[in-house]
Amino acid sequence: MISLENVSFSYGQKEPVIRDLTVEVGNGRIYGLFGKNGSGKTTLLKLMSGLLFASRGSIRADGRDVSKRQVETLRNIFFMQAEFRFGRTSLEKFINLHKPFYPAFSMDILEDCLTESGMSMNTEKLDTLSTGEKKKVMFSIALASGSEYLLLDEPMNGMDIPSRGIFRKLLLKHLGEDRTAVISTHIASDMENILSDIMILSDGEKMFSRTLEEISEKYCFGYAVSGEGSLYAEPCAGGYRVVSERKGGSPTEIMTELLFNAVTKGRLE
Amino acid sequence: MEKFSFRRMWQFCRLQLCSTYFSRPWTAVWYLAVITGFCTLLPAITGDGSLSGMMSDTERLIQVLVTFMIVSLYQDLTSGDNAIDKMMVPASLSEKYVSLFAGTAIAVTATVLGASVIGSALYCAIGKIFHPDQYDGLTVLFFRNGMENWREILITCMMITALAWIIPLIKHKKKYRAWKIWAILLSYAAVLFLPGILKEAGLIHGTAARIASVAVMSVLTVMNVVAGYDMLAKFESDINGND
Repeated sequence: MISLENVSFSYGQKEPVIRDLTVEVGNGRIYGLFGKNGSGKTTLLKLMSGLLFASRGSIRADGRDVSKRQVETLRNIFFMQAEFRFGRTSLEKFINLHKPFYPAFSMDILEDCLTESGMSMNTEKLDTLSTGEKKKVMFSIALASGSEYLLLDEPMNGMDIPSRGIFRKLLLKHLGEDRTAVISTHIASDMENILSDIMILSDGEKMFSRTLEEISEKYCFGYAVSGEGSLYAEPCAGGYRVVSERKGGSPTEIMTELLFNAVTKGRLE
Repeated sequence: MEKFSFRRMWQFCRLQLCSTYFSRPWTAVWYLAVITGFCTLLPAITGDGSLSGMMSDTERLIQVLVTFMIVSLYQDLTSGDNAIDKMMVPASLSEKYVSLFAGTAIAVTATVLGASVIGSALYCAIGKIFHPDQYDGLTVLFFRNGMENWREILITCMMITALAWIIPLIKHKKKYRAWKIWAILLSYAAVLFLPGILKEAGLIHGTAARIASVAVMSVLTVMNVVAGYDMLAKFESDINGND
């Protein structure tokens, strides 16, 4: 489990990006991390991975202080950045140089992911790949690393529509029951049907973090001719899309985008 | 305290060297040839006609260049745009820090050896063609005076270790007040040149100044290593990026 307790962080003397945030990332879950531009998603992932240090509060992964960057912590946390470069190297060389640091690295998973994504182990020049292809390779490496926590910052940016489907399929196939993924994204539809938890970060201060079961138990989502009596409503063709408190009845499908809007507008906590 | 693994340190060193200097070996050899050529021709053009003096100048130039080889490795270690951030690679901080110097030592040795071969060949040609009166056979750069260059080696070591804290200090200059950075750098220079200043002022003799200078450089080298480790432990990838 990664736990953040009363964490605050600011870049230099500027206003804090993260303010007094407390949140837990459990094992064996897939978290969707949503937030507006500049809300602190990347900062939060960097704090969780130990690339940034909290100015206040503590961040622990399986009981270890992540800012200490111990070998065990680094083995268990794999951070895939939104933008990165491979340098002038072949995939085989890249893997051979990095694999020794990850004892649980699986070549089978890597080859399966690459094959499914239409990539090849014989890729000679990684730096000449397109953004989407680089993301596919990097995501394959992340899954194959055997790390317990995968922190993925906008992993599907640049991927085409079929690749996004393959991403979801591979994540479900290879993540396993004990491993956790925290996926930051702006596109809620990318994450449909794979998430177990939703995290919505509002201006680095408030964190809405619930399991899908909890959300389904507490709220219902749907369409209505009027927004009256609902917790949040927004107009759509022919009426309103609404979030209401659930008072019995069967659970409804969660409308992630609507939930995001309701939370960021302060209508749900 | 985490257990230090030599194996992991070498693996990390290999990873860094391959992603910086040896990713394209032939290009590296080409760059080395060009740099050595430049370091040989510049003293040959601007020198006073003494072949030995030109060789000394070439050695000095190459010595200055190799001092900065740690910069590329440090840059690679702390760069925030690598596919797998080097700070996130599962190796302990001490392994990464030792690897930084081990990698620099390997790169410096390779450069010095390469430069001595290329430079010696060039000086052989220059001596035969332009200074036949001074030419008395092949002289190998850096190995002309046996192991008498130990003081130069100490200066290089001190400068390399100093860069291990100067680079992060400058990289994170926004975190510190400008006067503090200048105060640190000027005090460092003052301590370093103190024996020379005392000698010039006539307060100590030449031999005492040389001994004091070696003692100061040795102490500063140790301080550099400690300060560099501390700065690396505090290193943050604090560029406000995507969010």
